[in-house]
Amino acid sequence: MDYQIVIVEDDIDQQQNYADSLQRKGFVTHCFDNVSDGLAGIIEKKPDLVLLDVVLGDDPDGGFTICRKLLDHGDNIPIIFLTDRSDEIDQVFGLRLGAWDYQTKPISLALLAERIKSLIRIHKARNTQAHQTSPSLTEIQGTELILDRKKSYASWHGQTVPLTLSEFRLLDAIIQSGPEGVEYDQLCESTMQRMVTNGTINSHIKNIRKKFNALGPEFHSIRNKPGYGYRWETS
Amino acid sequence: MPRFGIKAQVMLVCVGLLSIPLLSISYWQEIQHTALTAQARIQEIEAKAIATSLLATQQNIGELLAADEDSELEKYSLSAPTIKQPIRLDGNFGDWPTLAGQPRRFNLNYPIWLAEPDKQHETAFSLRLAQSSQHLYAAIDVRDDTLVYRKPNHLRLDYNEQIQLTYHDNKGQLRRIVMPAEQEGSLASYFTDGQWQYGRDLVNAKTGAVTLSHRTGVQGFWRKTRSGYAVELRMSTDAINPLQPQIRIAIVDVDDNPTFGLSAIVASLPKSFEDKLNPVGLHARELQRVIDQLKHTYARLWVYDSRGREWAFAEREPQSGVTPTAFDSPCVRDALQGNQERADANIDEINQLTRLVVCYPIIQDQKRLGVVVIEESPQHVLKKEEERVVDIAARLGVVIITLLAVLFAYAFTLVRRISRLSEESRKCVDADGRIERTKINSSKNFPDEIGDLSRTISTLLEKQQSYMNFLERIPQTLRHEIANPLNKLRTSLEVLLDDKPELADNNYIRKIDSGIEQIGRITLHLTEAASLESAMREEQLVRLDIIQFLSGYLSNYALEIDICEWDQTPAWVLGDSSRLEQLFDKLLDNAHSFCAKDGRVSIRFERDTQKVKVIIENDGPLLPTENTNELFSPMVSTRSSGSSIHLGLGLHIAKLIGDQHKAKLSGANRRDGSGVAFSIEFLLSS
Repeated sequence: MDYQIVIVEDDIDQQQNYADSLQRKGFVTHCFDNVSDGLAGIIEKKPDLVLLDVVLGDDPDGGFTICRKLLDHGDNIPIIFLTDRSDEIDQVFGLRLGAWDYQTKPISLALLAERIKSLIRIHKARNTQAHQTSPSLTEIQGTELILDRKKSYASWHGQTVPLTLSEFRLLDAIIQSGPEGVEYDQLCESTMQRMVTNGTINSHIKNIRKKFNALGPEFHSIRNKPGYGYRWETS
Repeated sequence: MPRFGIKAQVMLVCVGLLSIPLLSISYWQEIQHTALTAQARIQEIEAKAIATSLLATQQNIGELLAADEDSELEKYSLSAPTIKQPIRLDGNFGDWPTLAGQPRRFNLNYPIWLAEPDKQHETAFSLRLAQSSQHLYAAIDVRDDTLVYRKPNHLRLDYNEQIQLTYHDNKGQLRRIVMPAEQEGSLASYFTDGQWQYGRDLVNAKTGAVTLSHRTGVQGFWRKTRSGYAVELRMSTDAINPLQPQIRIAIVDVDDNPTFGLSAIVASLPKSFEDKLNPVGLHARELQRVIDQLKHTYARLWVYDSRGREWAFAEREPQSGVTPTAFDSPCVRDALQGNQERADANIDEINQLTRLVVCYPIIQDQKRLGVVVIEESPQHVLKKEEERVVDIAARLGVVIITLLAVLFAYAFTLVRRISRLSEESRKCVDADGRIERTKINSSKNFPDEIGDLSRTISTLLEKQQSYMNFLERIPQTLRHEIANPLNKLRTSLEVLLDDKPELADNNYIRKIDSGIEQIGRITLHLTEAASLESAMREEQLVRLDIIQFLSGYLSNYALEIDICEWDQTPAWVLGDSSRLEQLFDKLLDNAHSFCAKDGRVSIRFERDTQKVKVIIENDGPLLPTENTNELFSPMVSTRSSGSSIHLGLGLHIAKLIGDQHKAKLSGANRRDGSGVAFSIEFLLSS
């Protein structure tokens, strides 16, 4: 596999753990603990994915700085923020900077590896099949919603819905469950995150609804099934 | 402590201010006393000045006032009160003012001559005198059953009813005027001699000038009455000797027309004074002139001689019903006895004071000739003062009323500003003590103490808000601080288990893993509670059927629960299904956490037209009653739930969600003491 992963984490112990775990799973890791070294390393190594902590040393927004400079540099490298900053504003800010995912600590290394694999796969799929009609496209019956599961891409009424990987996974799980619905536990698993509660799922669903509603017609297809989970309703 | 608001305090102050006019009453009494004392002093000075002036200017005053009169004759003196308005000479006495006094009656007790002394005679007359500044008036009412008129062809004046008038002229000469009954109308009068038979012209011995007999200067009216006749006449006071103002009136009754014989003569003096005249209280012209000059200054002024004869009198305006100051009043008496400074009134007794009298003796050569009396009405004296005081009182009243109005308006403005400030301050903090806003707009731009208070409250709220923000950030901060070491532990453990999979079954490794999991959940709960409020502010509630929601929710609820049957009619409320789910998760989880081992958790539903109420009950330990109000506070746990993690955040989160839905959340022990019941009451959406 030999995918190159750059890890920018100022806590050497955590940095080492990420690296050890990912190396065992076949990734090649390069570790840095500050902004300048991290940015230089990313530019030099041109990795397949970057794991960024937000707080780097004395710089509380070091991870965001690196992300913004990479974006300015024109690199389209998948970036995952791994941070203890769980505020919604931080998550929104990070995703708007161009990060592909935003994970709050504590994380599961196994799930992190799976997430990394997914994002690299999505990234490659997007690169190789750009400008082509993807055979993986799925149009959800009775709606204007189109999903590309390989690219974790969704469009509604012809417009891209800017979902994160977790949100895409939740949406896909709900759509696949149909009118019967999907339980909270299954939804928690689909996010590939640790420490996910029903409240976390509800927050994700609210964000998904907001993103759909921001594109135009009111979106009512995701319905709450109180005490159970969510279901998909096409009408 | 009973409430004593600013309005009440201002009212009290205003009542205090209203007492100022009351104080002015005593001030007015002081003014009255001062004014009357000053007036008495002025009158005294004036009386003294008059007395001195009379002595200096009236050469004959000593002779005038000290004229020695027959004390016996004095009893028959005739009074002639002063009149202001002239009397119409028409034979009717109705226009005589009451001041002129009662008529004096003369009958046969005063006979001069009787034709038949043994015969009963009816002849009598009444006499009233009055004087003006120029004239002496007389009203004579004669009772005579048989009237004999003078015939036009008679020269004699004594063959008919007649009135004889005798007086001393201004030269001291004795003059006789006869007024025969000729016909009803203008009175005829003639100078005559002691025979009273014919008219006699007067010849001035020095100049030889002749005054015809009918030019007596007497004007009058003769009128027949039912009982006789009445005569109203006047003559100039200049014609009467001022040093000896005396007259005598005699009525001659002639009954026998053919013989013209006299029947009776009745005079104003008895026969024993046949050669005397009645003294008349005629004012001395010179004295009167002096007094008249002061008549506009005082209510009344008199000059009496030492015998009590009124020599001059003046008054500002006639007053009815006021008793004139009598000669025998204590004031006059004292003055004549030498007490020169005595006011005939006690000025301290203003309420009873009807007049202010000052008397001053006229003394010449150690001899008290008479007395000057000045009388003034206290009301007149005080009138101008009263007008001034009333004017001042009116201005003061206007000022006080304006002041009170301004004070009231100011107080109400202050109270309104304070009330608004209080109300706005109250609204800045919600029922749970959370600061909803920090800016106080009420009075914030006023440069006074209330403005300072408003700004201070804003500052305090901002500081409190900062502190609250700090407190609210503590869980988040705590989570941030815990997250890194926890992640370090978690990832280290995972790497360790990757490296040595055989340790996965190690008991201690499992405990470490469990501990990390618990710490992770604690930090998650902390974050959830801390971020819940900000997240909820952005959420919009939608109309949903709480019955349908609960039916679906309970059908999916994993734990065992007793569900009471309820009415399935939709009950619409404004809510967020995921938040409601979170709310009921917390309440039911809480009920199960504290449920007794073999206890049950039940849920039931109550509704009316306005609201719906969901009640969740369990069998288990009771709530400590003293902490009921703190049940929903964060990080407060009132009961032990055994070994499970219990941060006291569940009910706090439930309360926050209840507040978001404007629902009333409450918890209490069951009445039978078997457990606890939590209820949440939603308002129905119309």
